[in-house]
Amino acid sequence: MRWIFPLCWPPPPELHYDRDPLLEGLDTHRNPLQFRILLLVFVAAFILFALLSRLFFLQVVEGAVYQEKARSNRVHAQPLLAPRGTMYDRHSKILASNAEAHSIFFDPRRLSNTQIYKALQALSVYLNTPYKELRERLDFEHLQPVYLHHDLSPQELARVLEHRDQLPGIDIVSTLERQYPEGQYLGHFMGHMGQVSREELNSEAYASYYPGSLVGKSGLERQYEMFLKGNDGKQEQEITLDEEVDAQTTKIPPVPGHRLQLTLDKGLQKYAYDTLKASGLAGSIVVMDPHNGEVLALVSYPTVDPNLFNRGLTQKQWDALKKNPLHPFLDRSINAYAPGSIFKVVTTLAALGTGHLTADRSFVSNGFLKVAGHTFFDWNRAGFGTVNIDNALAHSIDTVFYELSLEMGIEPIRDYARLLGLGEKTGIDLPQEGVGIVPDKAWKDKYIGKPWMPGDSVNASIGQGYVQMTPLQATRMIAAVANGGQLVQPHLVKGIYGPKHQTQAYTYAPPQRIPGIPESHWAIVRKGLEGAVRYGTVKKLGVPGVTVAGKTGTAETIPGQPNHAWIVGYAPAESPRYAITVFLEHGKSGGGKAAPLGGKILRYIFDHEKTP
Amino acid sequence: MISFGLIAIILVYGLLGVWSTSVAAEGQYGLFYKHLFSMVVGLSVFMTIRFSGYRRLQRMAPLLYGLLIFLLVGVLLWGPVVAGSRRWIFLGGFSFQPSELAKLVLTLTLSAHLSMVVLKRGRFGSNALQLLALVAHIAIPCSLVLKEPDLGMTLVLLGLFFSLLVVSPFSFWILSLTLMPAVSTALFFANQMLWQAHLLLGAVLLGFVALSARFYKKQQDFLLLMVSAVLALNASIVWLVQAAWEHLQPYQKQRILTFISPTPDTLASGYQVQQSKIAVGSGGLMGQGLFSGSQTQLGYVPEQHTDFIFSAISEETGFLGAGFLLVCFALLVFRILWIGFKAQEPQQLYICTGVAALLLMQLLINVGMNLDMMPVTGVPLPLVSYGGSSMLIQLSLLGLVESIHLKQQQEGWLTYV
Repeated sequence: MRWIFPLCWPPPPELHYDRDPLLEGLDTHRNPLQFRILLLVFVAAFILFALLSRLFFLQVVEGAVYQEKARSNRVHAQPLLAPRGTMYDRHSKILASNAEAHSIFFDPRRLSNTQIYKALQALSVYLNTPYKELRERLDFEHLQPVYLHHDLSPQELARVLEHRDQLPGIDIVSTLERQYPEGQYLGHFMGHMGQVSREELNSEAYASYYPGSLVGKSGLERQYEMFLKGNDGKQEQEITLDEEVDAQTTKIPPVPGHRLQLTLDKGLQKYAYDTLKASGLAGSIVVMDPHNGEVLALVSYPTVDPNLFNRGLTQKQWDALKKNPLHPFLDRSINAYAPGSIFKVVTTLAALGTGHLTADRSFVSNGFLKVAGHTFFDWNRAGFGTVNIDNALAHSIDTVFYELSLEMGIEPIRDYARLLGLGEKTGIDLPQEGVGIVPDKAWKDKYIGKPWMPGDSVNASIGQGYVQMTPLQATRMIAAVANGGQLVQPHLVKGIYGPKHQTQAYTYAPPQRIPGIPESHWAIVRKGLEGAVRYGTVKKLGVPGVTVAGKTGTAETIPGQPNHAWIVGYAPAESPRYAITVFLEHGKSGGGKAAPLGGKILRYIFDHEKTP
Repeated sequence: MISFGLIAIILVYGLLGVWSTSVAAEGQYGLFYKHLFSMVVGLSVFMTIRFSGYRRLQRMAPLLYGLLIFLLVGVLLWGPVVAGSRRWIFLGGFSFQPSELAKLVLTLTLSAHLSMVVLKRGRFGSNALQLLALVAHIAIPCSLVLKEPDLGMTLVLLGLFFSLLVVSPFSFWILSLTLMPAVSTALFFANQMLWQAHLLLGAVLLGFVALSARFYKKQQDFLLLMVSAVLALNASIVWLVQAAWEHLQPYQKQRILTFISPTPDTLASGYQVQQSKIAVGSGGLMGQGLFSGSQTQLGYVPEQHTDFIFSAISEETGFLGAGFLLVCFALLVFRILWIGFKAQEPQQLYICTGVAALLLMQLLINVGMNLDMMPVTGVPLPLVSYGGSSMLIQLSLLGLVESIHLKQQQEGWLTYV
């Protein structure tokens, strides 16, 4: 051995077994160190006891919990998304339907961090989406399946399918997704779809949603989300160990969402949109039934095509929309602006109500009025001579209303404005709307921090200064004039129908009679507004063969910018069926710019009335 | 015969476990046959070592140590990277882990080394040098293994070393000077209250010793000095480590952390542990039945035929089956320690202690990670996990113990107690 392995040690000396331990005593032979092995015995006993008790805890004490977890491991669940309820106009023409689209469904539960990272990185390249955006859709605390992307384009679909092996956990699923055949015409009120957000998922109302699925984000889509959604079904496959049966499948079919019939007239809506678009100005057009508040057209220009939102706007699209000087994201139909002379309706009613004005009171129009050393001019500096309230409304003579406001002060104007529904929500079935401003002393004190001046009342009397209203509020106001003093609740949805054609109870407030304004006062206002179309400032609103009533408004805006242009009106004057508002942002002149648009739309309405 | 019985039972568990995770779950017979083959080879090596004796192997200790270092350096230089580390040597269709060999070789060389240690009273310098030589003996292969990186095996080897130190002739004081600061540092990071309490206890003891010295009017200066030194060392090492850590740059800290725990993909191992825990828990008292545990048969637990085989056994045989396996391991460990206790010469004591410590450390780390008590480090379950190197080395180690037992039986241990 030693010469084969020169490195080896010599054999250790053999033990002397012939010694008698009884003679020499135990201690000389026993290595006392080996008692320390007892320490190891204790350590070993402790370790094995710890492992055994942990095993007992996991298997016997908590066994049922883990058996349930093992079961849910075996179950492969796939959502069966419910088709979203469709939307029709009042003549049952389709406004919003569903189309088949391809989406990306990602199940990260069986992947490691590295695999998730790699899959998302690859996906961000194929979809041309920032990695960060995809990553944010995952909740790393509680990993669960998620829709990563909706509405794939054919190119994206091809790219993803081609590189499937690089995309673990990723499934292409075909889903029904929202489609608007006439996208841009439906503007802001329709709203748009978008991926459900983390905050929404945590709220109770959205508890049943799959992460990343599409929900209504604004407009009607959001307002009626709970009706439109339906109930998702799911397909569960429990993988069995039995070789005969591959999987036990249980299926819960989806329940489609409710259908919505809107009050809208699709043809009118399109015509109004095109007319407004042709003017080249940003603005809004509202047409409403003055008796029940059914909105026939609700246009705000410019808009963003809601079809773009399913897959999410790209950064480029965002930047382009943000840079657009006309601000396409702003819904002008429910945004408040200075109303100008259309507010004279309120001033007239207030003056009549407080007794400062009677039908036969006459005024002298000089073209200006001096108030506390400041001269307020009429829009016509030549003046109109001696006039009564009919002429004052028809010609929109500012000095008459200056005088009236100085006599009665701001309080009656404020009170009557509120009676006509200004300064409060109209109650339209949209998630958001502006309330406008009805100023008074307290308001100015609070928001401007200065005392109320007589000049403020003068300005307010013709809808300038602090007064603001939305085109929808203006329509509601003029509808009250048209229908003889009843305030209606504007609404867009006529009926909600369940999957088996049953109707969903969904009612609106009935028209409310405005208290304290006698019929004679309304008649005076109506007479003035009819005159305005017949011989006054809104001649261009006229329609051959139909009596139309209307009022212009031209409101000064920021110095240096053109005025806002308004008209409000209704037709036919003897028994009104339509109330209309046209608002043009920086449209210069109500009579010159807004009235011809309103006239076109009224002509379209009466042309198509017989043949819808 | 007791050992044979225990080893046979454990090996049968291994066969069933590998059958369940490879043949039943994936329909692959290859792994099972390889496992059977390495078991047969291992058992023949076991018998060879049992009858040829541990002394013959121990004489080759320096040669074996050289070979080990050569292989460990070799695997770092030429070994292929498998799953992020260099652990394997491939030779003519066979693969081998040199770090597994380290278990056998270091048991032999350390026990030979320790049995040559001669401590002399009052010769502090020489004693310290001998300890230093021992530290170098273990530190070289350990740092090579850690470099692979293989944290689990490094921990196992350190466990072997400290267990051997416990039964070695090194005086209690030297032991405490090496072990106590380590324990103290660990205590500091585990629980600050406990750390303060142990310093307080030390101070109280110190006062007690001083008082007794005064009462008995004895010279106990050296004792006092030593106790104070241990206490001061404990406290200062913790402070030093902490201060040094705080003065490191963030990237340096990250480098050290990465070196200690080289797998950054924590979620992947988190997933393994989670699935392993579900597998173990769903076994219940009686188990899901052999070859019908869903976690095992549907492949939810990664690496189930190697590192996570205990979870498969637990799922399919339940607490009764897995608990019985643990009891068998416990009996085997106690039996090895008992053989060590009956040692006729120092080598026997050290070899038995080493084999028991290795078994215990692997058991703790492997079963611990299956039950989510320990971090995931790739340590196989001895005698059960699939893997030729581990099986061969583990059976060789048991062969050493059996050869000691044989010698004790041949010569009648009772007469030498």
